[in-house]
Amino acid sequence: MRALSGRPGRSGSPTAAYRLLLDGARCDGHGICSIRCPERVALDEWGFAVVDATPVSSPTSLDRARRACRACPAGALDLVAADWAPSPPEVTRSRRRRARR
Amino acid sequence: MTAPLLDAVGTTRARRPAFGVAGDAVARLLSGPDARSGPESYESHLARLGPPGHHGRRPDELRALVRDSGVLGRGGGEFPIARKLDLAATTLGTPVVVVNASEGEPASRKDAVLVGLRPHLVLDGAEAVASAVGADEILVYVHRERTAMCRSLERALLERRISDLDAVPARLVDGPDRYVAGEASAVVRFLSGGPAAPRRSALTPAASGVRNRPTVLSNAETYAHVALAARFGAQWFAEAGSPGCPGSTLVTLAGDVAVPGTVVEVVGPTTFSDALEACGGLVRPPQAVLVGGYEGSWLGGSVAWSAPLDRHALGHSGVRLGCGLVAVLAEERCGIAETARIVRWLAGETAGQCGPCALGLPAIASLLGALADGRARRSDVREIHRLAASVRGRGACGHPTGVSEVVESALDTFSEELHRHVRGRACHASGAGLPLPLAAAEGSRR
Repeated sequence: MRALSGRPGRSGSPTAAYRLLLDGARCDGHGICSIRCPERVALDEWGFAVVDATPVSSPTSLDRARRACRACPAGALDLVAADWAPSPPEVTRSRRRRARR
Repeated sequence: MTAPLLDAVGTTRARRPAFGVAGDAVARLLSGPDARSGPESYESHLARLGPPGHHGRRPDELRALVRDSGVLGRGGGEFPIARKLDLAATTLGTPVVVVNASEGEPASRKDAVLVGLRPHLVLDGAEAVASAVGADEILVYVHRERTAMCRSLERALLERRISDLDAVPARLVDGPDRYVAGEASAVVRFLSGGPAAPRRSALTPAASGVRNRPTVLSNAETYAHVALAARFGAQWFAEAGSPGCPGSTLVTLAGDVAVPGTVVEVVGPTTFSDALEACGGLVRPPQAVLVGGYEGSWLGGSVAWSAPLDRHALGHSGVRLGCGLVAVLAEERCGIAETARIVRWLAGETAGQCGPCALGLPAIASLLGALADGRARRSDVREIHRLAASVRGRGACGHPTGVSEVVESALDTFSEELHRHVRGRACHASGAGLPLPLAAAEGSRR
């Protein structure tokens, strides 16, 4: 991913925070990512990846996350800096406060 | 509370805008000649408002002016336009300016009315933005099916080409008439030669948009506001609207109002009741109001009635004014059936790129349909909630999240009807043949 300079988990400092980013339009539900990194990637009822986007910090889980990215045949999974926000901003719309009649 | 400063533009069912003006002096975007006289000519536009505000101003001055005026994007994203200008101006490459006049929201009419009556205001704004960022091209993204809009723009562009004032070349681009085709990344992709389908990109269009050039892309109404701010200054601009969202706002009244598709320019402090009484012909709170578009939020009628019709104040309570749609649901209608119809349509509008959207939305739609027909159990309602939560935030664009939003708010707002439906009682309004409030707008798209 262009937003990321260097390769996470290798050249980056061990404490640098990264997170998984899924491109939903590319995900075809192969499901290999979930085998490689089960603690971060679950599969929904149709087999498409559901990614835990909280920062990955420990070296072992970063390694597994990287394997998951590499394994994706569709190239849908990326590791990005934890503070990097994807466009469009509407995607992470906060949950509405309930207004009752 | 000060007196509501409203300005109404009624639109007839024949899709021809007609004026019903109250207090012409306070209208901003829609002030000027009568709607029956059609698109305002360049001559009359210049005579009424004076020369465009960006003439004789340096790019950085213009950007500072737009920043000070605090114009927010009016397509639904509510993003400060100044941030797009600053990013596009400082990124390497020659920027492009894109005016999104596709108005894919079925019941919304505000862009059609604005572009249909005041095309030069929108184009002035686009030119101001172009000179603020140093763009060499303006693209106006429209649907050819919207003939009144296209004719108005074509005539306006011709008038500007003939006059000496035209600085930046502008042209119309005809996009496909699909709901997701108006989404920013889909517009960028289409204008770059690809399909009009959303794409998740690492960079915003302002940094890398149409053919990887810095691209300022916003809704037509946003540019009209920029044109006014450039002419009359940031201080004047902020006299309308609220500190959180300066400037006036165009709102479309749809559904069970006197004339569906009435466009209202909200200038001063206004509540839903002010607008709906003055321009929608309502005398008491309706059953419910759908705010912000088909992917917006349902609000109970009595809650909405006293609520401020203000982007910023609504945003505080978690409701987005979005594209400015206010669709009214009368007491005799069924909100569950209505939502089921809307969601069925929205599910069909998926670009089909992302699994959760392509598979999840039809699943939600069929469960909602069963619920509306009284064939659903309580477990099905739980399933709807679960599916709505599971598609939220996924996919390349906000489409699944938006559907999740409207479904959750419907189940919440129409909880009484929900219980009736779950018990299998015939819905008092779910029978076929009822004139559905939003059917006219939906039918006219195809």
